[in-house]
Amino acid sequence: MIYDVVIIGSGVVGGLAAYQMSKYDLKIAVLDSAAESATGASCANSGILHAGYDAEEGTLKARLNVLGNSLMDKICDELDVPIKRNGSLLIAFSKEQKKIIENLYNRGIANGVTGLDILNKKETLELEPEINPEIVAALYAPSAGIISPFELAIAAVETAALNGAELFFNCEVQSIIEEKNYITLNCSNNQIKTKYVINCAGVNADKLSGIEDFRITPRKGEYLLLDKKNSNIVSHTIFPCPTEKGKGILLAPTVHGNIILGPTSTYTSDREDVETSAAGIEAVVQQCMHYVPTLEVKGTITSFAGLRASSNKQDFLIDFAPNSTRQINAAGIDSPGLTASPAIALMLEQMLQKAGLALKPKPVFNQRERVIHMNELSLQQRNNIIKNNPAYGKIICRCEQISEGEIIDAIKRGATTVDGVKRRVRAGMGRCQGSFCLPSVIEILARELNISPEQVTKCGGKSIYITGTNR
Amino acid sequence: MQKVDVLVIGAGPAGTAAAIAAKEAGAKEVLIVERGDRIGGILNQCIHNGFGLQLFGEELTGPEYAQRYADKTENAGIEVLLQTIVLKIEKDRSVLLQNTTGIFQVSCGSVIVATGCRERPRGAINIPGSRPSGIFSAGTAQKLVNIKGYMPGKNVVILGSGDIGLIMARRMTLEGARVLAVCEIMPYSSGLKRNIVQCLESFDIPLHLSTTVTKILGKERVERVEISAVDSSFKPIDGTQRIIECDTLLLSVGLIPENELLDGLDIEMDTTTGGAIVNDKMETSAQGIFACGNCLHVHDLADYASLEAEIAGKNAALFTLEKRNHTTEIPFLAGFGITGIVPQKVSLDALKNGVVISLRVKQPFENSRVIIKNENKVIKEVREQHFLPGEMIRFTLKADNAEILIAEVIKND
Repeated sequence: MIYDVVIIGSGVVGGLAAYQMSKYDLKIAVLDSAAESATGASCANSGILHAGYDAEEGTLKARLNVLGNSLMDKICDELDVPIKRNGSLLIAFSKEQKKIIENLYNRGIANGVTGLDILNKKETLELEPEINPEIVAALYAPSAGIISPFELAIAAVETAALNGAELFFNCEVQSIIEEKNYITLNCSNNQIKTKYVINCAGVNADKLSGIEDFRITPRKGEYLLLDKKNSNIVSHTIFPCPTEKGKGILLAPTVHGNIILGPTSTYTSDREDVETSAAGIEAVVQQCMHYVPTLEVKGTITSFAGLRASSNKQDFLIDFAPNSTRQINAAGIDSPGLTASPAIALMLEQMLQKAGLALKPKPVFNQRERVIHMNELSLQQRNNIIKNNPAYGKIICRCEQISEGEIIDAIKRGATTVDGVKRRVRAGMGRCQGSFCLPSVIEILARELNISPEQVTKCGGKSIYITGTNR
Repeated sequence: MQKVDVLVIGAGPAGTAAAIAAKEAGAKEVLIVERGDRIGGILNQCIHNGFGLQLFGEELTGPEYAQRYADKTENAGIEVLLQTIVLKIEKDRSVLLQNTTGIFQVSCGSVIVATGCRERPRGAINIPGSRPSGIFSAGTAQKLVNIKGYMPGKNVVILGSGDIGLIMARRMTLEGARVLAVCEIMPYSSGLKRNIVQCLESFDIPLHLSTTVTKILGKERVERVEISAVDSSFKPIDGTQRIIECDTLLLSVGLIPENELLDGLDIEMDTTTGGAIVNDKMETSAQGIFACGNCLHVHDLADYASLEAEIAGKNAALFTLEKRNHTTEIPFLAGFGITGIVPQKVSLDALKNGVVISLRVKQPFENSRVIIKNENKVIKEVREQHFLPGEMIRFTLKADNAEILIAEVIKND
């Protein structure tokens, strides 16, 4: 069989591309080298919807950021993914930094960002009373927001699958060979043929790009996540003035009510290196304490690191592979990739159409059934759900108050690992970090997937939890 | 709406003891709500012995100790709702519950919070490195091994020499795993002496003091950990790093009283204990809401949690039955070397009859004694060969009158 389109990678870029293309009458496959969707940059980033004043005018980053930002509400509504327009404040501590803010303001206007404003100290402190009173001004961007990146990718992939896209996990593409009438993808465990291929392979996208001088050097970002108890410290996303190294370390609420601090920015040669470091964590804490001196980091519940797919091209690389009209690269997608992802998906669609792929809309396109998040519902609604299915009354993750019914639903929707459950319904994402619920989640996964608890993994491969039974 | 005289949240050693005491003190309708699937709480996974010496004069295992209280609870006619979670306590003491039958409210004369504690996760101490599987809190490992019958690893490093860490070192060894090291960042263990002897020394498991895990390595499953010696300010000393090949890291790095249910009730909290501030009746600053057990302060022994809970239970019943005398309360303050005093306030009436006080030293002390002063007059002395932070100091304080109580450590002459 020959697919019409194969998408390599199921992070936000691959996921939304699959979602977009699954609206058409096409044979689609989505491949991911990991056991689940959204295990790369899409599961470890700031979760920020950028307004779009950072990237230089005329770049893909600038254009797709602003467009992506404007598309995100609709996409999140369609996919039932949490999003919040909390606005951002980029704070300046000196006259020199105020100059930078003014430049960014002008750049934002040129890029088409709406609602931007430069606030003085008093206005800023009225919006965010806990901010360091030494600031002199702030760039206010009301269109900035927060989003759950992994839920976005997972929902997009789930919906694509619901509409016929085939998913291949643990499937690493080793080579792409363009033949006369089709393209052959040699994968770790099979061979796949397709008419068109889109490379959204994140930090590994350069290897499949077919471009010799295109290189991705992952740029690591370390983060801290604070307990929900700290959630009232800020309501906007707080950015420092950017430097050559990037947008800097931010402090922001998450859509789920935690506070996220980070990221650092260090290049690494290892494409799987998501280790945190004492120095990185220290740097994040120092910076954020500078923005908000009353910040208490003793409420840290976890720290983690993610890799940005930064390339030597600076801008996103969204183009046909050299001498090809059938291979498309969506590579070097670092920040603002999450924000841009819906716009990237549209751009990819147009490129495929231009390349000759007939796009005939499906007569029926199904959105996924809305996910039941018990703790977001009224008592009456929750009671009705429990009456219909008592599993929704049994709390498994006590910190986030996640029921067995929600976990079973996550597994039915495609979770095969403990991390997959966690990213879909937050079981184990709270303040005890799964200490209490892990044994139960392992059991539920084993039962629902009809495997033994020894086969249950954190995220595929050798990441098992149980090494044997008692004596 | 169901009405009860006393609602107890948690059926561990504190909750059950509190419920029984409330019943004995005259409360008619006593209801225990337990999120787990059986009475006993964490005791059910503590299959080692050492429980009950204080209360029953014999050595019981955790499940045996729990069974005694389960029997007493049943005999006393106390209703227990298992697999039921408390979603919210309102200021008027109506409590919102959830289980597989639905979500419902119970109106309570008084509420006793006995929700226990949770383990500090890796994030709370920010151990650098990767995030593979194979990192468990010691309690999670204990549940897997003792309740589920599964081994969480083969070659194990344990960080933290608190009691759970020590007990799990022995348990994993007995089940065939190799425990390669127990690391403790402090220059002393925070576990009971008897556990160091019985769990580590008897099995030749090395205890590395002033040492911590400085990096976790491994992509999918833990492959190695890096441990380092630390200086007196707990900073790793460069050059002392050493790699241990292992597949499992157990964390026993402290317990956090679980008090999220108190959020929103404007209850005064004690940052040294992590629990509510209570008076000698174990009543919090919210009228009719009592706290006891490990959610009030982390205990060394289940027996002490049960004993303390009896006070909460009795007074919660008396509150509902409106048989309480309101008396003047005086504060109990921590002076030099002292932390974690419970209760933090004492009434003069109670003091006349004697109040059980728990406190801890902040660091080890030799040739010293703990004194209790009323202003400047010493009214009580506690003498021990040495004082350790891991061992709770517990005594009865009796005085005819007092203005302000202060506990402190002083050197012996």
